[in-house]
Amino acid sequence: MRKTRANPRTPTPIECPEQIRALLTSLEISTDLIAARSLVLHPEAQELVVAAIGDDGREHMLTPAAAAKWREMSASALSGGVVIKIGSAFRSVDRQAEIIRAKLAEGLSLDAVLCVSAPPGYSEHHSGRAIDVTTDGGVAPLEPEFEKTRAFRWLSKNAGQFGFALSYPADNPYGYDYEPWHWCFSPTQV
Amino acid sequence: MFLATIAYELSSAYWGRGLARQAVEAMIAELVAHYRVRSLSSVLKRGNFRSMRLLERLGFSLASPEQHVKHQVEPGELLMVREIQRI
Repeated sequence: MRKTRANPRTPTPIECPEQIRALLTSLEISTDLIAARSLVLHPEAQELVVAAIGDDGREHMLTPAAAAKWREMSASALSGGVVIKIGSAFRSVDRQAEIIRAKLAEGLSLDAVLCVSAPPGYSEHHSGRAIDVTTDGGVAPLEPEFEKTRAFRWLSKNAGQFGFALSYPADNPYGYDYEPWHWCFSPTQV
Repeated sequence: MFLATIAYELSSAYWGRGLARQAVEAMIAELVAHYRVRSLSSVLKRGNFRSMRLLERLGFSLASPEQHVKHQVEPGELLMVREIQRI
């Protein structure tokens, strides 16, 4: 019997603004790859406010709606004895390109870098609605161990009420790592 | 997340040409891209300055005393680590 093989997915051409296209070209990221992984373009937020100030004094910016809901959510968590903090919020397209350049300079291949970082233009952090959440108790930020914290359990149960959802569960279709710390606010989910 | 251990050995006739660096770099890229390795560690003999320099060039840094204990590093050896940051 003849074995048939599934056709490889044919990427459809993607549409993206000239600024993004130029950055992708300079990083040698092919638009086919973006189409094949079904990555979503996230335009930079137009209006940002300070949602929280980190222990290091860093200002974490979100859209006004996301910031308001974050404050409500973190206060609600705290009233239940659970500390949730923002480790990272809005990030510009240029900053994302810098991050990728730095990783390439460390000798990682583009393939490897794109498993852990979004191409510029395609990070949810550009939207001003995405946050990387940390907690207290000595849990390293941006590590899968975050899943075992009270903060994660609290978010899993309650974040939906505030319009926040986990963006990258295990085996997500975009090919990113499972990111239990990465949550995104969508007004329609409230 | 997966743990990978790699070791390398290169004939002294080929030292000084950047071959070890290229080989280890390629191996790391493969482990990160296709095996979900995000945390790298390397154990070397204290005083092996060539290896230490190579690992530093590859983005590794000396681990904390606590990490040395956790990895059961023997006296006379050093632990160097590199995390692939998800961002």
